[in-house]
Amino acid sequence: VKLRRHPLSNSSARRLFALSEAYPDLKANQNMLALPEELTSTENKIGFARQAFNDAATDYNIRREVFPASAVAGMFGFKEAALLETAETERAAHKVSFP
Amino acid sequence: LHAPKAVLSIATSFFQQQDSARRKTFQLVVYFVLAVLILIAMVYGLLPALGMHNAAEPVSWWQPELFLLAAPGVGLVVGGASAFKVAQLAFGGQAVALMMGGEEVPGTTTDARQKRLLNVVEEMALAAGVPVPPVYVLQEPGINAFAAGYAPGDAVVAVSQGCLNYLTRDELQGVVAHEFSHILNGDMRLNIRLIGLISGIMALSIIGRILMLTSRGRSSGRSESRGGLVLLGLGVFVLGLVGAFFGRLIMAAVSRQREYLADASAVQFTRNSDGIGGALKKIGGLA
Repeated sequence: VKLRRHPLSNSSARRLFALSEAYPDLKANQNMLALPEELTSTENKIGFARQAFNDAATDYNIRREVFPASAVAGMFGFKEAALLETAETERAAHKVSFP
Repeated sequence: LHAPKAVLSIATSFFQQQDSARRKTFQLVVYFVLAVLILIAMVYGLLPALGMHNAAEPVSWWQPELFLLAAPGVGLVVGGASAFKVAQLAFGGQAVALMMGGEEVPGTTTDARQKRLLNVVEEMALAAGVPVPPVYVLQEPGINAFAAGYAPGDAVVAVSQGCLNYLTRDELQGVVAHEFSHILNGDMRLNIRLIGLISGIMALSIIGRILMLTSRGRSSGRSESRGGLVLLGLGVFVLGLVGAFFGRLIMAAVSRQREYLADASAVQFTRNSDGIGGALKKIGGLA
């Protein structure tokens, strides 16, 4: 299973922050100050949701193969759960900072 | 997929440490139950022992009718007092946070540090797979945090102002992840139940003392049966105190295991041992 990153990617964020450099009012704006935290948190939430899914799927996959659950799993055809995987480039941290 | 070896070994060790803490908790709870059973047996043992003291002919140790009197009696006292104590302590998390002087952080906060705290709590709720709880801040300068609430459904997370002031984002995340482990694993409920059982055992010793005082003070009645009641009261009083002492020892050991479990879970949820590690060093005054 593949997850795609939202199109608001590094380049558009970088242009926004470059723009803010030229406009001190914009740079000092409350929303602008809160933006890096919100970007970090949004990235984290996606990452942690994926991690929680993968932890649960891995736990299920292990239980599925260990007795006694394995007997029931085999009898009723419990399938192995697929993990969410993402490309390394999409997982890399979103570097956003005010110079 | 191609994780380096070091990452894999960290990954296995935090799951292993969680398993170890869970296993040890289970053992300790079994010890606690055994201790209560031993207590019941010993209180029962007092009755024939006192009978021997008074009677001329030998008395049997095994007297089913006495056991049927003692075992449910002790069970009722310990169980009833425990249930009473648990009912006293089983508040929702909101009530506990307010009692501790916490202030709820509104979702609309404009304070940057509080907003970051709310974000970190949402992140860790996702990582732990539990609903996002209400968040409280305690007006206290030191680094402190707790999770409160008898059931996971009405749990809250509270952190001190010191956490917001002195911890980095990663460290705050580690501390919040630690508290989420307490919510996820039902540690508050376990703790309250153990406190309940200990006060149930203490109730036994209180009854022993009442028995002792009232039998001594009473003027009517045959003197040897009065003496027997005083001795019985003394025995129950001492057994209750000793039982509560061991109960507290076991509870302290359980708490320690739940903290280890929470630290290992914090590393699982954040996948970052430096966050909770750095926070613990700051709390310990090492950094």
